[in-house]
Amino acid sequence: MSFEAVIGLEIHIQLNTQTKTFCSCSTSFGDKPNSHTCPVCLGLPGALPVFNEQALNKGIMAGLALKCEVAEFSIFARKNYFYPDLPKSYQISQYESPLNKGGYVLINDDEGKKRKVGITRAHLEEDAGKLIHDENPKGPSFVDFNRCGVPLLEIVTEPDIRTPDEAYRFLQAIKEMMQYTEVSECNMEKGELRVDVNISMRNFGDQGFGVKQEIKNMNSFANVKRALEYEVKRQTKILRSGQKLIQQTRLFDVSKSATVPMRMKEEAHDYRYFPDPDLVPVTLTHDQIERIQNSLPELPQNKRERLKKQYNLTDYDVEVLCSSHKLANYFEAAANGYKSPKKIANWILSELIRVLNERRIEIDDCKVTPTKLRDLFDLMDSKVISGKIAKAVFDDMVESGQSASEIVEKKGLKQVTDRAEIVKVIVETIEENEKVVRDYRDGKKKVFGFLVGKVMQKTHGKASPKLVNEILREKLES
Amino acid sequence: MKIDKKTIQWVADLANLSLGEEEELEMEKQLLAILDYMDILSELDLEGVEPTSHTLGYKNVTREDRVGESFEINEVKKIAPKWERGHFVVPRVV
Ligand SMILES: [Zn+2]
Repeated sequence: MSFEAVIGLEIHIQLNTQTKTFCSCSTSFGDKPNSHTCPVCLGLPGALPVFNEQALNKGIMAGLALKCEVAEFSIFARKNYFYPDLPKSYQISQYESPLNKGGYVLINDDEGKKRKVGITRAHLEEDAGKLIHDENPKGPSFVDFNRCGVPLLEIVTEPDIRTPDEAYRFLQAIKEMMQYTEVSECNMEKGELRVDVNISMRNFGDQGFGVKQEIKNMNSFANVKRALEYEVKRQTKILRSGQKLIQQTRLFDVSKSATVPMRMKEEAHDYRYFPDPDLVPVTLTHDQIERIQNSLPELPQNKRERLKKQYNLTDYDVEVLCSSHKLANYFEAAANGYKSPKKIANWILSELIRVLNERRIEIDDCKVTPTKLRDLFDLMDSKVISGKIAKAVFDDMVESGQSASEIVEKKGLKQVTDRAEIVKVIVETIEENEKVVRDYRDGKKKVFGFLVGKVMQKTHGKASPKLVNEILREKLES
Repeated sequence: MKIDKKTIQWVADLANLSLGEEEELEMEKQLLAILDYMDILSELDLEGVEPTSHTLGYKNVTREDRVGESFEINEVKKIAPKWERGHFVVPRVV
């Protein structure tokens, strides 16, 4: 008997705002614990929450990008439970009337065919504080409320995902979309994107659902994939042996690369949602929604298709370039009006990405702007420098932020195109390498490269390779 | 709606309250009275009436996304029932 997995995801994404959802405390990360707190986000009696308009805008944009129906009427609800990271003893969320419902995201399945993953809803809510536990297992816990009240979008999918790889690609697509629309920076290290998964197994072809397992709070796509792979194996084994699964909440233990049951206090679970009387309904007109729809930036899939056609790029090129809208925009700024955009794409995919990785910097922090990159290409095209020198100049540009021509000038890297000068060096090289030259003339043609290398060495790589080849061959053959 | 001892204990548990036996009986009586009172509503014909989510009739009250004043750490410290190393201290949860 063969089984298939039925997977659904819940994704929490931090909306990119300056202030919290219902108070004007800053959302900035890494500041002194509890320094971004006020009566509202500490849940002091009498404090009145007021909704952040930017959180609403970002929430609508996200909904539109996810092809959801944006509600013309939505309300906030209180989700009641006791936990020390939640000072009000309720979380403000949306329950009955969420902001966004019924969308979808297109992904490739494992055969490369397009498949729709349904979005059940994407609603607004506030984050809780951060708990830190004392090293001593008997010691207390500590709370930092800086994160408490930060706006989140919770995206809930239909159970439409079938494999761990699909889940991975889906998350990648969501992340790209949220970054393209600037709804969220999705910085995983800062916990701006967290994933809960539901997974059950059923006989292949069945329509019903098996017993589901929930794996909570993962902040890396690779871990989501590994946790799902582990669950597929674990659940299949249990079902094969004829045993039954019990519904469980589990955690992914990175060190064991396995999911383990979550230790939970036996607690009553009944959130008793009800509309928050402190917050008034949000209504939107059709026109307002349409205006935001029209202001949506180009989405990843559209950008890939357009760049591919417009600049004659390969699938691979656009796949990598468009994995970040910033990289894609950088490419367009540099390639705009240039005769061979493919060359620019190649440079970005090899040289630029290399230095970004080496220096662990983002494209925003790279000192070589698109205009500066174009200047470098102009120097290559007008034969002022060779491609090889250009790479060195590029590294220097990244380091110093100077322009290509400044560096070429300062370091005297101009390509030597003076025939007489090159002839002189070649004659010298021939004299110094008598034996090799004899070999060449005896028919060992492959030593030619060695001699070219020698000439380039003598000119510190500055001689025009084309001229060196031409003249050297001439001299050797004569 | 019927309310029994079990329901009272369930509700108390959700509210993080521990009630003595006498208090439970007292609560049962009070909650029953409240529910009876609410039953009057079901005598109304509410066909086509949308549920109310807010009573004041306001909508779309929002504010600009601009950082305002937060507490000074010293003030937060004063509010905290227990404070250590810049954090609120709470009984261990896991
Ligand atoms: Zn606050």
